[in-house]
Formats: sequence, C-alpha cells, structure tokens
Amino acid sequence: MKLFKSVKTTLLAASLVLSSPMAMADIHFLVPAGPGGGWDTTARGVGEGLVKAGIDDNASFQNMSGGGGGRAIAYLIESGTKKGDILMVNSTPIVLRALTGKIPYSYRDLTPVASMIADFGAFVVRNDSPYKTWQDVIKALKEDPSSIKVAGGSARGSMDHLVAAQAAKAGGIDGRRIRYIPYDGGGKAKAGLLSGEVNLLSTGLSEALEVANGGQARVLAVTSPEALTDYPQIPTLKSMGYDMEFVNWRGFFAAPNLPADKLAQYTEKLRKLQSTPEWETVRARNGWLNLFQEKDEFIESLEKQEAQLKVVMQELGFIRKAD
Amino acid sequence: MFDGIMLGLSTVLDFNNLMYVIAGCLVGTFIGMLPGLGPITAIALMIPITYSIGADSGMILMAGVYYGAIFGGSTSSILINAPGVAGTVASSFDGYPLAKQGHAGKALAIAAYSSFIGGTIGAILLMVAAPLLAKVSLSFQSPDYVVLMFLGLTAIAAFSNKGQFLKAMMMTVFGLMLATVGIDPSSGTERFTFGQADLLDGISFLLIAMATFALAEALINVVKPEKKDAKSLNDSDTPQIGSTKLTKDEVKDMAPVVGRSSFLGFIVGVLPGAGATIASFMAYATERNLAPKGLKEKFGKGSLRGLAAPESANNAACTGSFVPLLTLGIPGSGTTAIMLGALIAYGIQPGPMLMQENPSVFWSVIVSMYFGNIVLLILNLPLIPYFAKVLAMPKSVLTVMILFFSLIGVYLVSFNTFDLFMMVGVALVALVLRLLAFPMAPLLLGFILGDMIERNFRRSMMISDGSLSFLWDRPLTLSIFILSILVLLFPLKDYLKQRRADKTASKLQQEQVQ
Amino acid sequence: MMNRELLGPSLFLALFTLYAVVAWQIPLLPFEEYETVTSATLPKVYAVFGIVVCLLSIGSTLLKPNEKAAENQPLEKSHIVRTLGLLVLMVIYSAMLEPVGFLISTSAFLLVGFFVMGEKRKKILLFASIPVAVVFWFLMTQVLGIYLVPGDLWS
Repeated sequence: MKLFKSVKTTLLAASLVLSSPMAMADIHFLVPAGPGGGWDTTARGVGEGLVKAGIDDNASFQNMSGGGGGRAIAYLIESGTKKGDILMVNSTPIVLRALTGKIPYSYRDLTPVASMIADFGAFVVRNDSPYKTWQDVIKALKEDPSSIKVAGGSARGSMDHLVAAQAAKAGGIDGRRIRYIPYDGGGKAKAGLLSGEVNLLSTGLSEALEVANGGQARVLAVTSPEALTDYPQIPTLKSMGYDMEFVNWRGFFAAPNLPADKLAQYTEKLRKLQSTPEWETVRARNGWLNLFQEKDEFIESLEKQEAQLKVVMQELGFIRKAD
Repeated sequence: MFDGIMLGLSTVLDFNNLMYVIAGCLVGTFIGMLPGLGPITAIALMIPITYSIGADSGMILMAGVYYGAIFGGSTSSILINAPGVAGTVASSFDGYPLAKQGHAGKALAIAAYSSFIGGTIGAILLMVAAPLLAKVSLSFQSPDYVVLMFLGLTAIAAFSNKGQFLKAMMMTVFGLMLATVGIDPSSGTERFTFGQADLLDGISFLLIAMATFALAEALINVVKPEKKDAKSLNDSDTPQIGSTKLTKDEVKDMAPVVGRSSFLGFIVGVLPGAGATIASFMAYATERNLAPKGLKEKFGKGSLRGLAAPESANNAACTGSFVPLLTLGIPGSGTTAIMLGALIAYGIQPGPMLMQENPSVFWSVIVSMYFGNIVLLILNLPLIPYFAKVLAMPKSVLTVMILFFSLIGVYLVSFNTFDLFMMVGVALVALVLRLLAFPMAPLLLGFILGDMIERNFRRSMMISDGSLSFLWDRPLTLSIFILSILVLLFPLKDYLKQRRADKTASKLQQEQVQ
Repeated sequence: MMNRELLGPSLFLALFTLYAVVAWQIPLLPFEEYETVTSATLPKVYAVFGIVVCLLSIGSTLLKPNEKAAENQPLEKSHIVRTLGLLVLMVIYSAMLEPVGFLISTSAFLLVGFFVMGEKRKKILLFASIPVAVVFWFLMTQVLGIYLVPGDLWS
C-alpha cells in the first residue's frame, strides 16, 4: 500500500512537471479539424509567423475534430479563459453550419477576434468546354438548367453549392434548379471536372488556380468584390454585371465573455503580424490573400454574411423559412 | 525519359537525399507498425520540417514515410492481427493464421518480398507510363466506380466457404449499414445519428478495423485462450517463428500471384477514387477466385497466395496513387492529399506541366522509390527475428499493449474519446460475433465499399438525370459490369459441376447396387 | 446445440429490423421529394436484403436439424470475468483520458490491465506500464509535436 501511495505521488508530480511546458505556451491554437487541412494550415501558419516575428514566445496547436467543428467550439466555450490564451481558427462554415443547425452554436457564442485571410469562390471549366465565358454558362442555364452539372468538393447545402446557387440567382436563374453534384473533397471534384462527367466546378479560388495553372482548365469567374491584384484577368461576377460577391474568410475566435484587455492583446498581436515580413513569407507560400478585419468590422462582416446566406438557404429549401 | 532517369538518379544519389530516403523509410516503417498511428498524421506534422530542405528532398522524405508505413503495417497485421495501416488489413487474413501456425518468419518474409516486388513494379510502371496513366485515371467516371466496387462486392463469395455464405452476407449487410451512419453527402440529411454530434461525420474505417481485428482478437484470446499445455498467461510462449526461407516450389507458386496483384494494385492505385485498401481487398478476392480448387480452401487459413496477393497490391497501389497526384494534382488518398498540400506550399504546381517545369521533383520521387523499396527490404529482412520476438512477450503484457495501441491510435486521429467508447462497443459486438463463428472480413468490405458505392451511385444518377443508363452508356462501365456478373456466376459453374458429378456418382452407385 | 446456430441470425434479424424502422423514418428534405433515389433508398434496400438473408439462414437451420453443430466448449467463467474486466477497464480509460491526463490514465490502464490479466510480478507491473506511458508521451509531444491533454483537472 505504501509503495502504491508513493508511486501515485511521483506520478502526480511527474505529470504536473512534464505537462507544464504546455501551460507555459504563450499562445495556444485550437483547430476544429484534423492535421493537414485548411484550418490546420492556417493556424500553424499564423503561429509560425507569430513566433518567428517575435510577437510570441511559443505557439502550440491542438487538433480537435468532430461534429463539423462543434466539438472544438463546445470545448472553447467550456474552458473559457481557464487555460490561458486560446485562439480557435475557423471560417465561413461556422456561419453556414449554425444556420443549418449542424452545429448547435454560432459565432455569437464566442468572441470574434479578427479575420486574417480570405479566399473567394471561383468557377472552373475544362479547356475544351463549349462555355467560353461565364455569360455562356448563364445563357445555357437559362435555356435548360439541367444541362450544366456543377461539381463541388463538399456536401449538398454547403459552401460550394451555395456559392454556385447564389451566382446563378444573380444571373436571374432560380437557385434551386442548379444541379449540384457533391464529391468528397476538392480533389475528387477536380477529377470529376477533368474526366468530363461534369461541366463546371465550384470551388475556392486557391484550388481553382491549382487546376487552371496545371493547364487543363480555365477559371471563368471569381466572387471577389474587386479584381484580384495577382490575377486581374479573371473577371469578377460584379464586373460582368452580376450583383454577387462571396468571401470565405478565415479568422480567429476566443472564448465568450473575454475581458476587454485580453481581446485587445490578441487583436494587437494579429495586427502586428500582418505587417511583418515573416507573415508575408507564410502568406505568399500558401497563396493566401490578406483580409484583416478587427473585432467590430469582423462582426459586421459576419452578420452581413449570415443574413445573405440565410436568404439563399431559405430559397433553396435547406432551412425552413422562419414563421 | 532517359534524361529524366539520369536527372532523378543524380538528385537521389546526393548524400542528403539518400539519408532522407532512409530516414523516411525508417520512420514510416515504425509508424506503420504501431497499430493505429498512421502516416497521415506523421506526414502532416513533418511538412514544416520539409520547408527548409527543399521540394525534392521533402517529397523524397514524405514518399519514404508513405510506403514505409505500408511495409511496416504488415508486420503488426501478421504478428498480432492488429493492422498498422488500413491498407494492410487484408494481409492479416492469411498472415495471422500463418503466424499462429508457427510460420511467422515465413509470413513476414513473404510480406517483405511481395511488398518489394509490388512497389518496384509500381515504380517501373510509374516511370514508363506516367503521362499515359494520367489519361487512364481521368477516364474513370462515377459509373465506373460503381461497377468496380460492385465487382469488389462480388468478392464476398471469396470470403465464404460453403457453410459460411449466409453468415458472410449478414456481416456484409451489417457493414453496409454501418457505412450509412452520418450525414449523407448527396443530400445533407442526417442518418442514424440519433442526435449525436459525434456521429455526424460517420464512423471511421480505422475505428471499425481496429475494433474488429485488434481489440476483438486480443479479447478472444482472453476469453478462449488456446489450450496448448495449461500454461499460465504469465509465461511467454517460445517464439515459434520458423525459418524465413521459402522453397523453390513456394516461390514458383506465388510468382504469378505477385505479378497479377502488382498490376491490379497499381491500376487501382492510379484511380483517384480508390487506394491501397481497396486494392488489397480486390487482389485477395481475385486470387482466391483464380486459385485452383485445392488451394482455394486454404485462403483464410494460412495460404501463402492469400498473403502475397494483398501485400503486392497495396504497395503497388501506393506507388500508383502518385500518378494522379503528380500528373494531375489530384490526390487519391488522405496521405497523398497531404503531400499535395506540401507541393503547393513549396510553390510547385502538380499537373501535366510538372514534368516540364519541375522535372527534378517528378523524377527524383520516382527514382527514390526504387531505393526506398530496396532500403525497406534490407531493413526488414534481418530484423524479422527481432520483430517476431514481440510474440515472446508475456501474453498478459502483450494483450494489454495491443488494447492500448489500438485505443490511442484511434484517439490520435480524432482526439475524441467518443470514438474510444464506440470502439469498445464495436469490439464487444465483434467478440460475440466471433464466438458465434461469423467472419469479420466481409464486415469491413461492406463498410468500405458500401460508402463508395452509394456515393458514386447517387452521383451517377444525378448526372444522368435519374436514369440507370449509366450502367451501359459507356463501354468501360459495361465491360466491368459484365465482368462482375461473370465473377458472381463463376462459383455457380463449380457448383453445377459438383452437382453433375454427384449425380453421376449416385447413378453409378445405384447401378452397382442393382 | 441448435440454439447456437440460430442465435446469430436471430440477433441480426432483430438488429436489421430496428435499422429498417429507423430507415423508414429518415426525414427527406423538401427538394428530395421528387427524386427516385433519395438518402433513404439504399438503407431501405439494405434493411430488406438483410432481413431476407437472416430469414433464409434461420429457415435453413430449422430445416436441417440433423446437422451436427461444431464442437463448442463452454467458456470458462474466470475467462469471461477477465474479458469483461478488460472491457470495463477500457471504458474507464476512455472516460479518464481527458480529465486526468494522458500520463496518469495510461500508466494506470496498463498497470491495472496487467493485473487483470493475472500478472502479479511487481517488476513487470511497474516497469512495463509507467515507462511505456512516459516514452510514448515523450515521442508524441516532444518529438512529433502532437498535443496530448495534460489533464483538465489540474490545469
């Protein structure tokens, strides 16, 4: 019994000592998905930038996937400020999934800190496609909506589908008539386009550029509000007269009821990071576009996006209209 | 092409890169051996390290980890029936029985040689025909996957011996059902989730594989230990590994199997929608169907062919999955998806232009595969007796270790303890089923294929606007479909022959009596 | 014993029926109502097929009462207890892992596991459990940089 007791104490002490390096980390990132995905890369990129630029001493990362991100959100809400400085990375899906009810939380249950980067929606066709411009696509859709099959790397009702439906709506076509073909993952959707079984691919700009730069496809349009500095030749929907824009932001959230000084501290760190050369290396390496929006501006964008998406989703029948 | 090979050789023969090949293979083998912990996590975490060493070296390192893991995964599949990597699950079907019969050494040797040959053939095909293969990978559309998976399902016949057919069917249906849990991607509806957020993404294959194989196996040995001599569990079994040598006849018998499976595996790997796991199952089923009567029954009980087939196929598939990755920028599996991310981060654009713009990356990865395969063979063969010593651990310790590794392996992927509870539940069910003599393999097959068949089927229906004509619209689809019908009817031919033989025999008997 | 052969298929029959009940209740989104193949189609197919297979199996067993079932030694009670013990231990480990932290939970799991399996030698109990947990922890957190919860209770 005595042996057992001393063993227990040693273990306790050991784990406290050995686990404390974790607690001393200046900033801890919570990633609501497994390693290697978009969220993970963003968090690690930002963390890398912060440490290399000397803004933080240590950055640690915790992956917590499940429930479409809901698990990590729940964890953040529960742990609050007990565990030190935690920033959770997320993007547009948090707004989307809250609307469909896939996650029982919304961004309002957390403290939005800032958005860092943005991706836009883009539409791609194969090089030998009869549709040379986006206008051609709209024309074909008007004549026969089922003639165009749109591929996307996510399930029905998620981002790729909604962006396509919204774009169609801006062109005067009922979003519900869009034939969206879901694939599991952007890679398979790309394969679907290149193999010819679908005509159009709705995906993020970065992925669209990958396929286009490979030489087998063209980007017909992008959903950014203004022309892209790096790719001015890609027409924006707005420039072609279609009133539609979509921004897939990626940013950070903190626990709810965050004290004001903590919030200011995090925001200051991220703001400082934006102008460092270390961040520019990370950004350029990944092909991200900067979109820094601080708290109030960020919240405003979130509200705007939520309202915009809500309307589209109701029209498409993905959420019931509120009575 | 020869310039390419020269370029690749000169890059790989650089001392640093050789070190990376070896390092990657070592790390990969180690990770592959640990049941549960997979190459995906390892590679994802390695990426930041690779930023500083350059694209060529980075890819060489990661590729080494990838096929090293497939190599290493066979070790734990064979020795403790706990597959280290999803692609090695099929190797345990015959590998583990062989080990139990005292031939662990031979099994490990067969796995090593088959993997080596599979990987090398894959590398040769990759080198010779990469651009051509790119076209092949793009010519497969959703309907083709449907019939291909259907062909795989007909392999159920492969897993059942006479009395077991209905039981295998039940397990397959069970697997198909488990695959429907979660959000249906085609429509976004929740199915069988009972309000549990953790079930929204469905059940992971790794979870099911570890629970039904590793956990259930460990537990069944506790509930029904083999009564060799009434040894207590605290003593260690003398490691009966047997020799690692293979006789000439054995080699001759396995040669065509290895050859066929390598090709099959490579082609399956080339398809963006299928990877090493499916390749290994299909090779296993194919070889079983092609085996002559006497050898057919040995499958599942320690058939050398049954081990060689999936082993060659999974390594070949692993190599094959580099085709869509490098030539089209389309990842064929989770691991290649991570590598794609790395390529992009290096600023390299995979696609048809890769060979022109960055030939060194392309060729050095391919050439490194040869070296990688050789390194793996050299590493693994002499170490076999040491690996087998694992069996020498006292059973009490070994069992608990297996339980631990299986649990933590799944945890390290999702960091969700709900998954662990699920594993225990599934293990309990699997344990009961095994005690009732139900085969586990069809469950896994149904699970994997069910998911793919449904997705591709629904997609094909959507693309064809609701008609089933996609089954015969294109010659490729039609031919695979006919092939699977034939495979399904094949055992019927044997059955009819048997009936006729029985009839003649009984007729003769009657005549004799009269 | 005929019962053993019927037990499996009967259990499956029960399971498949349950599945069928839930499958028929899968809610259809508004736009799915005019599609031929919906998210409920394949589950229904599986359910029906599965039930048919079970009935066939039960039927064929009942029709051939002379088939001698394979020799089945009854299971020893001590072994069953031990197995259940391990199962319970795994559940406890899963529940403890995040609150108590990786190191302590794993060491405890291994230690108690060995004990349940009948291992009484103190050396093995201690040296095969704690060092393994520590080495593993080290590999994961320090070498590979994977975050393992240090234990919610004490942070």
